[in-house]
Amino acid sequence: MEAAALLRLPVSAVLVLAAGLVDRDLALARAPIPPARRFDPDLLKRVADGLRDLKHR
Amino acid sequence: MASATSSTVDARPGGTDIHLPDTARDLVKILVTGPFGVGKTTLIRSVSEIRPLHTEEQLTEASAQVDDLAGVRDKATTTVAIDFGRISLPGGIVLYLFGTPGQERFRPLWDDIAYGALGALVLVDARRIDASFDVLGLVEETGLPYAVAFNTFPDAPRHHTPDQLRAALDLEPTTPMVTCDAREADSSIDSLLALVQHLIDHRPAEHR
Repeated sequence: MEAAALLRLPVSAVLVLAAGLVDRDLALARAPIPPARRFDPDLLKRVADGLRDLKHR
Repeated sequence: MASATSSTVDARPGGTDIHLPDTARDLVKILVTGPFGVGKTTLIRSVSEIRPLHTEEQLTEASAQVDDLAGVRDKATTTVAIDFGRISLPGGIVLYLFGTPGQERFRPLWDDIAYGALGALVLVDARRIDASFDVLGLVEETGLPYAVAFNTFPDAPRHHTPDQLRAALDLEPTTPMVTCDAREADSSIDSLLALVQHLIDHRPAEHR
């Protein structure tokens, strides 16, 4: 979505372009974290710690 | 309803570096939802390191007839506006926030957008509690863990106690309920923290 917004192209067009790049090994497709991993306590703690650090220093 | 056919996006890159470092490893997603006008975009704008990117998806009615005697007839379309923002956290975590409309007719959108999300932050307007039931129903149907944040508006009634608000929304006792000012970064972060802490405290037993 970021690429689509910055290129000012429809999201669907960027998906086709991205698929083409992946087919030619010019780009890596990285999936979002798999559903099971969203319960990973270490990941969640790192997210919480990271958010706390963001608050007004 | 058919899924989105086409969309255009409008980007307004901010002053900060918009490109992710190569070290970004974990991409996580939280949905920010609530009734129309409750402050989803405001909250995302308060915390996002990039200017919120705005995409408009067209949802097309699959059953609409294309041809009739007079020629091509308009399909019924709904435009769905989704704002999303990004927060880079230490350790290579990138948190994406998706401002997701909560109306029932956007259910097909939720099936896609909720996939892989950690959970949802549901913004509620204490002046319009009734407007929240649709979105709470959608979130619960999706099975996403969620926290509720009351975005404070100047003319919000002050006589509701937290217990009254919790009862009005028919929330589980374990659902976090906080107040926030979506215009303030720290307050918005606190709301996200309430959700994340809830996720930590209430993981399903088999994942401990």
